[in-house]
Amino acid sequence: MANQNIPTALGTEPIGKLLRKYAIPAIIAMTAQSLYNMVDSIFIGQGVGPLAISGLAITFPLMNLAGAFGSLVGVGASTLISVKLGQKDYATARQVLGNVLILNVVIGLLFTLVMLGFIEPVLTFFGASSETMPYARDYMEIILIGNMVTHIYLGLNAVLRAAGHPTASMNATIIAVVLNTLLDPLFIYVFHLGIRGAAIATILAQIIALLWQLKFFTKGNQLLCITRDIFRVSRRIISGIIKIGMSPFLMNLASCFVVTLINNGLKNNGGDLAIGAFGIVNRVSFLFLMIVMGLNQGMQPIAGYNFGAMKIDRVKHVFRLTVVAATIVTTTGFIIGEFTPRLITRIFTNDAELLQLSVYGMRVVMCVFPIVGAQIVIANFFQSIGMAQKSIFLSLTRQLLFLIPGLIILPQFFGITGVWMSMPASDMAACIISTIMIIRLFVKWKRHPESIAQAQL
Amino acid sequence: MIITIARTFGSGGRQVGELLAQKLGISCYDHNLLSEAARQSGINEDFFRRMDEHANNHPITGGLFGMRFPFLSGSGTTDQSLDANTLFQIQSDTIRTIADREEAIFIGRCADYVLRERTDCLKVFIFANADDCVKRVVNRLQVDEEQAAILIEKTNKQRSKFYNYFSSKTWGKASTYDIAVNTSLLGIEATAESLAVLARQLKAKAIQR
Repeated sequence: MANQNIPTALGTEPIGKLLRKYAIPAIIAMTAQSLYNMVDSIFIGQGVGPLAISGLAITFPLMNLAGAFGSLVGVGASTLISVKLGQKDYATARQVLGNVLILNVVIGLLFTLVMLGFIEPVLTFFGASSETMPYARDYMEIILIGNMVTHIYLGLNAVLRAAGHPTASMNATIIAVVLNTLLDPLFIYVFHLGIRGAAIATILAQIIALLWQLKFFTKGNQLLCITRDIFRVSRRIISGIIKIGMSPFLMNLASCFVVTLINNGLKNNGGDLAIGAFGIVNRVSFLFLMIVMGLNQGMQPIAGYNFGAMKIDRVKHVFRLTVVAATIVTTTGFIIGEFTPRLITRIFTNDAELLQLSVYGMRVVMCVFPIVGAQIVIANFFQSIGMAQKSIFLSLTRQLLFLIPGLIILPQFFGITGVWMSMPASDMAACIISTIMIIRLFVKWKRHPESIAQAQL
Repeated sequence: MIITIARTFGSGGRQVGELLAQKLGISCYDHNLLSEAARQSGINEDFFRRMDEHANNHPITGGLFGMRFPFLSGSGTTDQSLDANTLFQIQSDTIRTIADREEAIFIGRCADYVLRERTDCLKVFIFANADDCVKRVVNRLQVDEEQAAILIEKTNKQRSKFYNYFSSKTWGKASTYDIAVNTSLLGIEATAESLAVLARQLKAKAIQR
């Protein structure tokens, strides 16, 4: 069970061993998740064409928006369920699950109807032109129709993890990734369905993964068995879910907004293909960032417990180790992005113009990548020792507070380079802020050890 | 025999609990529960004190937007960070360990919910008339009446949020408990005595079975 009987081994076993134990499964899950997105881009780029990649990238903000609603329900639900399971309160946990499914269906359906109704103006707002609109629309229509499946699939995955089946949740993701990889070429090359084929493959893969997940929810002997009586709407549960889910919802909403700014900045300064270039750069850089997030998930319980037990040396140890590992990951990304960008981009496209734009974009975007790893770890470190506000502030600096002014101001002077530049610029500024905050924290711990337990949780 | 006592602020619930424990010759767990939880988990007691009976450990943002903040790090849950959920989990494990080991009285901390599976548990809710609560708080904390009233409202709101969040039931609602008593009726001593009578009767009945 997720958080039952905090293992005191967290306070005694070697840090390196603990970090490996907690981080590796998370890293696998995260990598699978980012490969999932990457596969679609690769097949669309190779099988449909360069403008199709732009069409796909235009749908990113809309995907973020859908993801925002997904996390509104999913995050709150898995938190509540893990609290209930920790108390062995299976009846309420199942009722939470029932309410989650109701919410997923209602929100998913409303989202689909509203977005399908206004698909063209919405996509234009997110950066579509008359050239890229057909691709973006074709892809998004299918994704929107399958939106409910996506919500339920992701929601159940979060619940599986909370219910103490992290492996099952990982396997569901892997099933979806593998199926998507197999179905993409089938629908694109064999059935000639173009970008629609990629969308159909995505949804179909999720439907099958969902069916596989259901075997954990339909057997009578499972703790979280779905039966008719759990579908009783409870206002308290729903308001609990929404309250917890509100902050990840807003974070996703913010990133929807930011990607919209990026897309439009690129379109206005570099044309449709520049958006496609961002699609490629984004997929590649994301792979490395997701690995870092996996590392963070591994660090969280170790730092959290040892901080609580006031074993500050161990807290600092796991922090240092995670920063080093994250820096190795992002530095690898940096080396690949700076020295072999053409090789990587070739995986997605052979179009000369798109290649050139992507290579340039990748070089600029990833130029400060070695320091990004530490920034993300620091933001998460504050979270794991219970200082959530600092943590939220720090991730907002990188993804929002410094990025938005950059995206508005820099293109005025540097054109398309300005759009690309705003990303490393905001990374850099965020990194400086985080470093200052973490040093101040450690200095305070050293000078006033008594302040540790009085930390504002 | 386990007795859980939920109480409004200033109702004298804790004194009733302590007296009752004396009368029955068992221990009463209030703040000392936190020390026990700290000892069992290895986590410093101060952290338990900070989150004590708070569902939300970010007073400022939580108060403003009514939101809790499990930050989106991809994992979706923060169940393993040092947060209110984790500390509550440890505290409830401690309550169950104590209840398995000895007869005891638990004050607050969702104990009635945590021990809901037990058949030998008497769930009590204690409250009092508003002016009695104010008087008691004025005496205990050396504040004026106005401050006391504000403090009472704030604390009760906090306790109810804490209870409702973790139990998904309603704090202070009669059907949540076995018995609800107004201490303004008989006073602390007599209330404790009547509860002791009730507890002994229940225990006798349990032994007969």
